[in-house]
Amino acid sequence: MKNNILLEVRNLHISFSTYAGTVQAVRGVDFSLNVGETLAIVGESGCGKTVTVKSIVRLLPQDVAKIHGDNVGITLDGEDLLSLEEVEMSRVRGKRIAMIFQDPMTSLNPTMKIGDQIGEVLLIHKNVSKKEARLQALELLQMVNIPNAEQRIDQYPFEFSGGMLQRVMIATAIACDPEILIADEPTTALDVTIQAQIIELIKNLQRERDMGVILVTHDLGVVASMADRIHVMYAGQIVERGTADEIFYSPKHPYTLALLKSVPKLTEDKQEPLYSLIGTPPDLINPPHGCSFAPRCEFAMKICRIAEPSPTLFGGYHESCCWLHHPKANKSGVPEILLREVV
Amino acid sequence: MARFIIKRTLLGLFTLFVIITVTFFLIAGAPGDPIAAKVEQMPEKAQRVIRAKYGLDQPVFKRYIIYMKNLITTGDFGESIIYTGRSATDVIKANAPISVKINIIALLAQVIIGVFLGLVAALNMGKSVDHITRVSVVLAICIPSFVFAALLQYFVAFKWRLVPVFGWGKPAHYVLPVLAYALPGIATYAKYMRSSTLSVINEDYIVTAKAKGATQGRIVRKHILRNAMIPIVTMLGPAIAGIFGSSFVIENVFAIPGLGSYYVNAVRDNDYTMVLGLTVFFAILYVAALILVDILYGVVDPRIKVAGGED
Repeated sequence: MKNNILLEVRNLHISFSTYAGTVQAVRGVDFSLNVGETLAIVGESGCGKTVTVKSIVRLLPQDVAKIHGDNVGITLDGEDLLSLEEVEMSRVRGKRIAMIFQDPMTSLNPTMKIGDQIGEVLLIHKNVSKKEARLQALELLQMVNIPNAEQRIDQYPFEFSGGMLQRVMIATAIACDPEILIADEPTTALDVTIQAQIIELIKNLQRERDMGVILVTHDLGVVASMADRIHVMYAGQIVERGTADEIFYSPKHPYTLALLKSVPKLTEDKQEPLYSLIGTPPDLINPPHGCSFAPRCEFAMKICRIAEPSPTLFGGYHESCCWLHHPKANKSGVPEILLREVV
Repeated sequence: MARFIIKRTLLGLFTLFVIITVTFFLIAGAPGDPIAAKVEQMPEKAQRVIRAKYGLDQPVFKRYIIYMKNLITTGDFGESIIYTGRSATDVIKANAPISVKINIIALLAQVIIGVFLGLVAALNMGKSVDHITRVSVVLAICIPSFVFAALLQYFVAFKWRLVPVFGWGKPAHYVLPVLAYALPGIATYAKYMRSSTLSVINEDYIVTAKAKGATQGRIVRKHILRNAMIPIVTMLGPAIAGIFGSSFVIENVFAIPGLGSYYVNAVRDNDYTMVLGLTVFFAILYVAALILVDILYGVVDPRIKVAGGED
């Protein structure tokens, strides 16, 4: 398994200088992505998930965002991306690691033809002529199921719907056969039926091409249908990680449980209001002492506000940072699902 | 596209009709008349003959009908009342090319240099290039072109003797008027280009381009430039008209035999036919410039075509 690792992120800290102070957006994130695997990063708005993935391809504004940490590293196939020159980095972007974004309506250049925008990535990385780039762009458009691709290729983004634009973004992203596709909330701006189609498309392309996918989302429904492993992020830290089954069927962190409970279910009694987590994420200019989730946690103990919990391993890859799993913790009133032994 | 151009041209013609009509009655309503001063010493009878010659003894409405009929059927602006035998058409033919030459050179300089400066300043936001550009831009916008003209004449022409102080005929004569003329414009374009570039830089599609592996140079050329130029195209229409306006002053300062001095003199002398002729000429240029800008808009920004009723 070890030699299968494609991308590794080690002890990543990212802070932003703002007028109000330094925002510690990401505080010690570690994870790795295996070849052909789908890794999901889940969490509510502002938890640092987008910042984390943007830092992988170094898309954060350099003047305000600082990447730091002891022994911090982002390595792609053993190569440290953080130490690359900007020009070398631009050869990684789009070619080895491609990215699609949250809002397809604003992520495409409004004054450039669709075909040219897809072809551009080929012109940059592959030694192709303009004619060839166009031909390949056409193939890519057909591959992502754009009807009438021959006509569509010469149209502009305003002539496309949101779902089609996201398909164009995906076509652009896979053009150079990247090893990793980073999808930053790819379905958030789309309506539900289109969401399913886009997820299906990404899944199929991944299977065909054996791409690693990092999926960032706050939508657990999206995650369930495609992630191999899930990382739950809260206030700039990963609070729980595990396989999709482990996270969905035996969550070990109260925040994960809260996220799961707030997903509407078809079988649910419609009279009951949907569960919602009270409070807002902490201010990351002055992160709270101890566990950052403690102020919103219904099971918080004294220790939670004093010391940061270290990860408890539940076997395999399943890990959670929560004091409840300490042998001396008071477990009365804690739901059985959080404590259940995994078999 | 063709339908759009035809529609705009018809609207333009209507605009011209309104301009001619309004100008005609405004001039007719102005105090004094073109021959009053000249013919004071003439006997009553001679005065009447001259008035009759130019139709000034007719009621305003009748004069308007006659003028319009002549203009539409023959395209003739009529003979100058002050300078016998010289028609507005002759003056335009002889002197417009001079004005137009200066104007086009100045406009090109304004757009090219201004856009370049604004782009460079925006891409280096917060650095010294940006600060220097911003301060000079504010200064240059505030100082009118005739002040630049005087300064340039004093330093470049009089003290350093690089080019003639004024006059017309040699290529060297172009330098100062074009410079004096272009400087405030360069500053204006630089200012607009800087701010539109800054807003484009923060768009999501610039991040997308970067994520595709585009280098900074490619991002500027392929993604920033065209989008940041859209507001500049909007400014071009009024700019073309404005450049005709301010050329009166510059032409006077540098003693250039352009249309400017004729226009000013014609207004002063109440030379009805000349004023009308030149006004119509400027109005045609102005309306044509606006139509051109609308077409250019569609070229720069593909989204505009839909609004034009095509699709």
